[in-house]
Amino acid sequence: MGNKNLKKKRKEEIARNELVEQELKKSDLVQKQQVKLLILGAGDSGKSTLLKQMQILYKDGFSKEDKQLYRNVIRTNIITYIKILLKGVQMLDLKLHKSNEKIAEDFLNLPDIIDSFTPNSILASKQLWNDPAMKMSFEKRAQFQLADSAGYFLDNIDRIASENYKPSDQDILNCRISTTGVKVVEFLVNNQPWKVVDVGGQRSERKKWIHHFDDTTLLIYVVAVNEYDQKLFEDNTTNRLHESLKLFETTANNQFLSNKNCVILFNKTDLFKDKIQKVNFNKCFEDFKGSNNYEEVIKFIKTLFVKAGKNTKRSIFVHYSCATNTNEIRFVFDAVQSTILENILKEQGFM
Amino acid sequence: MSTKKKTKQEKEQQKEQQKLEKQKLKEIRKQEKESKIRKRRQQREQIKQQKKAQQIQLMKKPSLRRFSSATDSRLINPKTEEEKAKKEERNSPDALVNPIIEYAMYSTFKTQTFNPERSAKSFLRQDPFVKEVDSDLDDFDPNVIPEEMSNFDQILNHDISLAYFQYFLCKQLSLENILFWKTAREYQEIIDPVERVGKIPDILNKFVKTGSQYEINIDSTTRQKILQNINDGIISQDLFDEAIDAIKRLMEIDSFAKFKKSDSYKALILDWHRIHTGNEPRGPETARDEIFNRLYYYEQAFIEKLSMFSDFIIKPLSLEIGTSIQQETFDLIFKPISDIYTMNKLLFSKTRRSQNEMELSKLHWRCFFGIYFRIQRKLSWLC
Repeated sequence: MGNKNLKKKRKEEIARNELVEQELKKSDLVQKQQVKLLILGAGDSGKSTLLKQMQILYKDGFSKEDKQLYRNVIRTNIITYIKILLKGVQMLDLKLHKSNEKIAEDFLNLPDIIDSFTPNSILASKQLWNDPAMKMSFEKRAQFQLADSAGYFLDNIDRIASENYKPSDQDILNCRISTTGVKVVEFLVNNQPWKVVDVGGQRSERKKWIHHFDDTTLLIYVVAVNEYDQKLFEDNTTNRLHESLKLFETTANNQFLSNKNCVILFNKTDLFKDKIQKVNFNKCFEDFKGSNNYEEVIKFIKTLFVKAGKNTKRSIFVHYSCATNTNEIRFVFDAVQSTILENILKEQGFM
Repeated sequence: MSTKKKTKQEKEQQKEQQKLEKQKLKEIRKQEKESKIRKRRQQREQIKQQKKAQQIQLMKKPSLRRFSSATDSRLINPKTEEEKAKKEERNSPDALVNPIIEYAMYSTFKTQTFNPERSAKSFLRQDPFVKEVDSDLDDFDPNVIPEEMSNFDQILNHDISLAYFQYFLCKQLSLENILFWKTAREYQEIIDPVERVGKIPDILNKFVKTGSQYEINIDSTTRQKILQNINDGIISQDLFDEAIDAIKRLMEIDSFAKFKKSDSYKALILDWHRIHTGNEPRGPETARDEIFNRLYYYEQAFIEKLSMFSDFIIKPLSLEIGTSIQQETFDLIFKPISDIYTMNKLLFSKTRRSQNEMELSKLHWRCFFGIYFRIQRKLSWLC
C-alpha cells in the first residue's frame, strides 16, 4: 500500500512539474513576443499626449470618468493660466485697463481649484483675456512658464464655461497634465501586445527612468522643437532645447539603450512654424548660420540630434509631427510598427 | 514402503527447513530495510538541524536582526511610548536606508550555497506584468463607491485611504510627493518658531534642494522663493505653502486619477465597506509599508552608487582594458545585490505573502538583475 501511495505522489509531482514548465514556456513566449516601447523626453515635450493618442487609436478612446476629470482640469487650468498671465503683466511692467485693475487684484487671490470656477470668475477671465496688456504678456510668454495650450483654451472660454460642456478629443489632447512617476500601459496593436512606458520628464523625475530600461525594443524620444526660446520649468536659467539635446545624448548612449533602435519625434511643429516667423532661431543656437525658415532650422536640429545618438549598433528614425493631430500620429505609429517588425526579423536572422 | 515414508518425511522436513530459512531471510531483509530507513531519517534530521542552525546564525547577525524585527507584531501596535519613539526613528528615511546598506556591506551569505543566477532566472521568467487579481476584488461594485473615497481631500484625511494611496505611489515610483506633503504639513502646524527653524534643514536637504534624494517636482521660482526666504531669515508657518499646493495638485490630477483606476483603489473600497460593517480592515499594513519604503529607498541609494561606479567599471569594460582588476571591483558591487536578493526572499517568506507584494519586489529586482547579467556576460566574453 505504501508503495502505491508513493507512486501516486510521484505521479502528482511529475504532473505538477510539467504544468509549471508549460507555464514557464508560455511566459517565456509572451516575454519574447511582447514589445516594449519607452517614451522619453524632457518635461512638457508631449510624451503623455502620445499615450493619449494611442488610447484613441488602439483602445476605445476616453471613458465618461476620464472626460469628467479632464473637464475639471481644463476649467481649473483656465484660472491658473489667467493668473500666470497677470503675474507676467506685473513682471513686464505693463498696464492693464483701469477698469480691469481691481478685477485682476481679486483674481490673483483665487486658489487653483475647481470651486473657484464660478460665473463671476468666468466673466472676469473673459474680460481680462481681452485686455491688450494681457495679449502683450501672452506674446512674451517665453519669459515665464505658461503651457503651450493656454491660447487654445482661453480662446474657447465660452464653450468650456457652458453647463453641458463635454471635452472633445481635441480638448483632451491639448490638456496639460504633468506626469509624476512611471506609468505602464498595455495595448494590443495588430494582435501584438505592446507595453508602453510613459514617464515624467522633469529633472527630479529622471532618476526613475532606469527602472524600465531593460528589455526595451524601441526608444521613442520626443522633442518639442518650438521651445527653443523657452527656459526649463525646474531651472530658470537653462534653455529647453539645449537641455533636451543633452538629455538625449546621455540617455541614448546609456549602457542599456545604446544598441536599441531609436525614433526621434520632433513634436509641436505647428507651433514651431508660427514661432519661427517671430523669434529668430539664432538667439539660442549661435552655431546656426542658415536663413531663418522652417526647413533649414529643422534640418539643423535634426542633424544635431542624429549626430548625438549615432552609433553603429542602431538605426535612428526621424519623424515630424504635431502630437495633437491624430492622423499624423497614426502615420508615426504605422512606421514604428514596421521598424519593430524589422527588429524581430533581424533577431531571428531573416535579414 | 518404509523407505518411501522416510523419503516423504525427509521431503517434508526439507520443506519446513526451507520455509524457516525463507522466513529468516525475510526478517533479515526487513531489519536491513528498517535500519536503512532509520539512517535516512537520521540524515534528514541532521540536515534539518544544520539548516536551522544556519538560519539561527543568520538571525544572530546584528543588522539582519534589526531589520527583521520590523515584522515583529509588537511594533505594528506599539504600546509603550518608547516603542513609539523607536518606530518613529525607523520611519525617518535615513533610518530606513542605513540598516539595509549596513547589511549589504556586511555581505555574509557566503556560508549558504546560493546560486543567484538560477534563482534570479526562475523569477525573471514570471512576468510581473501578468495580472493576477485577488479573488476578493471580483466583489468590487463600482456603483457603491462612498462619497468620501471619491474626493481627494478625504483620501488624504483618512489613515487607511492614505496608507493605500501611499502604497500605490510606491508602486508608481512617485512616493516623494506624499512624503513631502506629510512632513510639510507637520511643519505647517508648528507654532513655536524655534522648533520650526530646527525642522528646516531636514526638509531642505531631503526634498527641496536640487539633486536631493527625494527631490520634489516644483518649478524653479517657488524653489528659489523658499531658499531666498530661508536665507533672509523669514521662516514663517506658510513657508512651504506654495510647494504644498503644487505637489497636492500634481498628486490630485495625475496620481489620484491613476489611483482611481487601479486595483489598490478597489481593495481600498472593499476595506472601507469592511470597516463600516464592523469588521477589521485588511489594509496595506504598516509593517508592509515599511518594507516597501525601505526597498524603495535602498534602491534609490543603490542607483546613485551604480552611477558612481559606472565610470570605473562599465566604461573601462567597453574599452576592454585589464579585466582582472575590474573583476574584483565587480564582485565588490554585485555581491551585495545577490545578498539583498536572498534577504528579500527571506523577508517575504516571513511576512504574509500577497500577490501584489511579490509583483512589486519582482519589479524592483528585475532591473538590478538585468544590469547584473549584462555585465557578467560581458566579463565572460572578455576573460
